Amino acid sequence: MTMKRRLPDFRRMRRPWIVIACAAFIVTLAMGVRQAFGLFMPQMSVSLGIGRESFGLAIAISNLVFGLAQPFIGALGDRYGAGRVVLGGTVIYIVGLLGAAWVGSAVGLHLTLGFLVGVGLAATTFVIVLGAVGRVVPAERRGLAFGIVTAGGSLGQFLVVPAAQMLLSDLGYRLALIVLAGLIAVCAVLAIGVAGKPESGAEEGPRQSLREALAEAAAYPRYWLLNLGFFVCGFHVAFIATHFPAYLDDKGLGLAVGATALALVGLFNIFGSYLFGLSGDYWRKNYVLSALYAARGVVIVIFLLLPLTPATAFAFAGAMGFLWLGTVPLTSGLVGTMFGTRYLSTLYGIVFLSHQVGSFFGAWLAGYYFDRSGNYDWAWGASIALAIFAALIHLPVRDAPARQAQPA
Amino acid sequence: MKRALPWLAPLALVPVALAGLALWQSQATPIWLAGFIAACF
Repeated sequence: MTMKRRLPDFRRMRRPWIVIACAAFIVTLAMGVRQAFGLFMPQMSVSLGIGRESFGLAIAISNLVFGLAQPFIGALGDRYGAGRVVLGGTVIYIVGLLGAAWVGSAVGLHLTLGFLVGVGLAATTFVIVLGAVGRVVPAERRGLAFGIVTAGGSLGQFLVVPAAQMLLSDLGYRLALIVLAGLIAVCAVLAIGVAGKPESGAEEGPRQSLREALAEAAAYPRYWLLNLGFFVCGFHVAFIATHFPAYLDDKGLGLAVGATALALVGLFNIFGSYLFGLSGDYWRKNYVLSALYAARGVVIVIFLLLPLTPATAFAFAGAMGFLWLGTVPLTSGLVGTMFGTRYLSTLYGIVFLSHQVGSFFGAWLAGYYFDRSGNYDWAWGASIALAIFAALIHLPVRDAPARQAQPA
Repeated sequence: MKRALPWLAPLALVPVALAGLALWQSQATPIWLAGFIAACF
């Protein structure tokens, strides 16, 4: 790896810190609330008389809409600025949460907690706010800035989930959803901090239309390698987050160990998100990504080779947590380096869609093969193979502008 | 020390992390039982 620079110049980042802080708080709230939805399943299923499959479908719709809407909402962010999009997304998110508190049917739940919240998420999370941050931070400090914002999202996931559980236990699901909607309303104020027309920023990259930017990205093979890599990230996190507690329970370790393991994933994710982002300012981001994916494969192999005890389960959860969302600042940073920041939200939105597709397959296929074989051997094997694949495909990715990397 | 500052900055979050872990410890099993897994991806 090549050492590129030593220390960020914090004096030059004084004004951007406002954008970074607001962006980090927005994703802390938006990602944190999102992560708590599963907690509402038992109470809402009974209250609405809809069954867990129907509730699960609402969550699945939310995840799907989150991914599918992302490139289009990213394009809106690139055109009208992140502030307006976050404000609009906040309103939609709140309407979705309040609607979910009042609906009395499965269809209503699918429309509110599924569709509306999915759209709200796409407008208030990483793709939109990282576009705004990327435009105010010099390229050589972008890893640090993106790492802070991503760590904010990780912090939200870690803190809001147990807090939401307390709300549910004390207030019931309707009031808990209203409180969470109030929490999301804070994003409307924070949107001011990320406001500003993209054209007025100091973004680098060629002057081009959205259509030209999409054509350039589509014709650049290394951009597609990033898409494939992020698919692997989605597969890994969805498989482990969805099935790991059940895997531990199957092996006789009990529910408490599985729950604590998830908490450790969330905890170490905060530090990993920041530190991997920061690493991107010191070393070539594609090499750091290769190392990250390779480390995931090594951690899984070691975990499977060691005897399964609570200690090894916690060590695995901590290690995977550290490697969890470090991919976000590095991958989004590479998109910004390749194509500039003018259409960062659109182009990173497409890569994020690939992540969500990977998530879908990671959660679903692991369960599909478990139902047929009674074990997770296939899923672990696929995770190791995909980790090796992702580590290799990031090696030829260049941490340089696409036009500079392409032969004339 | 100045060079190490960005790398050590996350240590400022340790108190928050400890508070979060305590919150998780009190809520962990209900969270898992409630179907947290459904919303993790």
